[in-house]
Amino acid sequence: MPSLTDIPNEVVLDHLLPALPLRDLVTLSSVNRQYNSLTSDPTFWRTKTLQDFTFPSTSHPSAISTSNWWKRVYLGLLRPKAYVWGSSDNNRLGGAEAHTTKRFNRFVDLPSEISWNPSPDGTSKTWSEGLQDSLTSAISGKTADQDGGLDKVVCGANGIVDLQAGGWSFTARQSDGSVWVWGQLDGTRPGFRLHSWEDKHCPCPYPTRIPLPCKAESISAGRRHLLVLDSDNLVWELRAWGRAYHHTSAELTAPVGHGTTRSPPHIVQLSTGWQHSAALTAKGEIHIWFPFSEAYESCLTPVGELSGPLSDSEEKKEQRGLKYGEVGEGILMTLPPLPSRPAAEPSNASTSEIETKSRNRFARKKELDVEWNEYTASRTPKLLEEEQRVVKVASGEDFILALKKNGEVWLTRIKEGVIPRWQYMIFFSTPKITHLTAQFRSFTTYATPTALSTDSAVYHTRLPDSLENVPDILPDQLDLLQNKGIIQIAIGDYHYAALNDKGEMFTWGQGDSGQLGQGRDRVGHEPLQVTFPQDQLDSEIGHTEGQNENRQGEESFVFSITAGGWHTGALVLGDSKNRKIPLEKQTKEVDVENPQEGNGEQQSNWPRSLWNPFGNNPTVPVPPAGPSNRGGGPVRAMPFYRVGFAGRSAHIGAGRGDPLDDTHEQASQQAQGAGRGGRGGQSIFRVGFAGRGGNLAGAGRGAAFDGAEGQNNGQGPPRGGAPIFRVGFAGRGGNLAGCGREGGGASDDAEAEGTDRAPDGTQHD
Amino acid sequence: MAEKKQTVILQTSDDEQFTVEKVVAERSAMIKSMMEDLGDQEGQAIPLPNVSSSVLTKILEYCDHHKTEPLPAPDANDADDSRRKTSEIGEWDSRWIQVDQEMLFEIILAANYLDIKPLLDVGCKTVANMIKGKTPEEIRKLFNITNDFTPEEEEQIRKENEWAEE
Repeated sequence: MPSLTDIPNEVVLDHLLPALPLRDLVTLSSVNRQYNSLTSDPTFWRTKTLQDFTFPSTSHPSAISTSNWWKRVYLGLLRPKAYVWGSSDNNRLGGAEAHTTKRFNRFVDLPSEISWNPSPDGTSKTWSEGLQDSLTSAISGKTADQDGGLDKVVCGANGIVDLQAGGWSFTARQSDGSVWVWGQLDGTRPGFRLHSWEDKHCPCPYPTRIPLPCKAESISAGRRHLLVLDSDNLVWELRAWGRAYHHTSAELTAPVGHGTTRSPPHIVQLSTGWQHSAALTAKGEIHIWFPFSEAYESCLTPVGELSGPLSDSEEKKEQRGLKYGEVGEGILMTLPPLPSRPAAEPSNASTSEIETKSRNRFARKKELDVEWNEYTASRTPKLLEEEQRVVKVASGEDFILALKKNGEVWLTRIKEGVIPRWQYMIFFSTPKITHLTAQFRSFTTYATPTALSTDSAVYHTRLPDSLENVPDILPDQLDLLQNKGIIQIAIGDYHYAALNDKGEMFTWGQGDSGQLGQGRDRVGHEPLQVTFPQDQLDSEIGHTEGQNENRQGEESFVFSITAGGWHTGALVLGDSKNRKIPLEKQTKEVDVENPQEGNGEQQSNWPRSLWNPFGNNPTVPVPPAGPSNRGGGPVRAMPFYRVGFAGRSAHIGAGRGDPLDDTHEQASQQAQGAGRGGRGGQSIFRVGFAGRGGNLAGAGRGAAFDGAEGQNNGQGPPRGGAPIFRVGFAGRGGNLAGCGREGGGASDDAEAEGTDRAPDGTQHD
Repeated sequence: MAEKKQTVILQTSDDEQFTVEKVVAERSAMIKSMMEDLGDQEGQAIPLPNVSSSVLTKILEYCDHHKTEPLPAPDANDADDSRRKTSEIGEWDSRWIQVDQEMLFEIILAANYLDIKPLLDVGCKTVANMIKGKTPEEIRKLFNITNDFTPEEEEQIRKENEWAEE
């Protein structure tokens, strides 16, 4: 007689697991080995992540990259953190600068967590804390809901999934489709006397939601304007945060009606430069327009006829309301289709090719010719034709870069009155290129690791002043980024950032405003890894307690990066581990970190949430050290509820090779995972929401204790016993309530300061 | 349409033959493609060696009830797909699927074999509903699953999962 265990794995993965709430997935994982391994399937988690959080598709690693990425992302998205650093002019750090002691007059040179949701009583919370609050209330409010479970709560949770830097600002999109901004949209002039953000110069000192009449599915922040693609595939353009106009041109809204395909053409990507906007359709057409031109201005709904203002609350209507209207027709220009790749030049090594650079070029061209020939030979004519389609675009100051499905990269200047002309970027194109990034005068093309190959490549350059001979440009030598699994690149005006598939972020370029986040004023000639506050705490503790080797896999896991003018941002997956830092240790840290301003009032050491606001002693006994099974004991996988479990990721690697896993199509991939045990170890997410003993107890749950955790984190008394927040989600347990309050004070300071500084705070962009 | 009431013969694992309306049989993507392969060979029975007559009877009931609905497109997009997967089980379906566990799993296996996606979803959602809110031990008991973890593993997992046990 058939039973649950006889259901084929693919049916379980495709039909049964998607029908289960998160919590029952966890339960199922502990039923037996078969279900244990099924519930940690990477493909399943990828799909779930994309469905439950509208994760920006342009920042996905292509296809299946490392198998742990998606589960890790999913769990971290339950409680993401947003860090920003760099210039603090124009309020662009949104108050995060108040959270760090590494603060200079006009910049912050270490990642600082951004505060969130300032509430009426003057408190403010970090993003992750606000999220936990919303989860908590959602959970308690949902008890009546029969199968409400955690999943529904999670789907409605407001995790930040996309963070983008503008010229003087940041824009964040949450998974519920809301858009938050801070800084100054147009920082070319000071705006400190302006109160209504209908004026583009109005500064916005802390993250504020734009009350858009739609759900944002993706955003693109230009230097001084913002594009939003909503869930109805409507394009909204904001040149001031208080005014939104949606496009009405047929090309951007309706099927063009060629009738050749069943699915109507629609916008798949928006892109913003300094003076232009661009929209890419599913068919590969690129439409551009100039939102600061007179022609554009004249086809907007007149100010007097705008709808709205929409507002979250009456009192905010004046200053933070949103008026909205339409952009009329006739302002779009459709870029000419991309030509075919120029044929390989005949190899006539002329006499002029003697200098080294030319020889390099020549050699590289030959290599590329070989790659392209292989590519062409391995595909059918039909496929070759289909891969001529443009699949991604990127905008710089006055140029657009387009990527064809086949990996060709083309560039054209985009300027009013100048006819666009596509130029083939020979040395930035290979059949493996999958992603593009551009900003100001730099661009990068890169190939992310795929299921077929772990190779990755990064081709980066800064354009010369003239765009005449761009096809001859050779990429910078960035040896440190080659084959390092780079999955995202972000570009500021003079600094650059890269993210790899292990969640590590690297920066290089100019750092005189702290935008490298490297902790000091420096120029980075080589990409260097950014350390996030919690990493640093770890390493300090690690050093003192000699537990360095136990911290494998404990680093912050960055899942998205951004860079703008003189500032940088990163989204980090929620903390997974209860940091049981001895109280004395914390105090000491203040002294060390903060020698000059170590007074009681300004103990705003990062990260706030690490502080035990009550200064109370642990109310929960220190757990006995559990058996040490880190490093691949018999227990397999359990990845996602592995939250509390520091760095035991090695299990996963071990688990991968288990024959039980092999039934699924992922078998080979998993086997590969086994081979990489050590590596897997690092990128594993640790899911277990609970785990954090002390916290659980605080929440009135009594027993819950995680012995291994205790051992892992050493002697520290569990912090703890604090309030209720802890329903299971997340990181830094007990102290949330208190932290929020403290944070509030800090944020007020920031605001005041922001205003004070405004007069001189506008030049940097 | 002159070709109304076209029929097809299905032969089950226990050698019973069922004469079925084509529109009903077409609910199964597998039978549909077999019919296409067979072409017009009237009277040729389609063998279904993995489906017993009792299960087929039950499934044909389902197919008959849903025969007028549009077939899911073979390349249905993800959005539709996820909507289908997260929607509740319809009223008729939920009454129809009130069967014993053995039959339930037979239906799921057959739906998978016959490639009837909506039915597979109904079956799996039913199983999901049985799982929801239960403890691992209750699930094992319910489905007669052996706990193959070692005590250490089990303890480890229990601790890790504690957060979910309210």
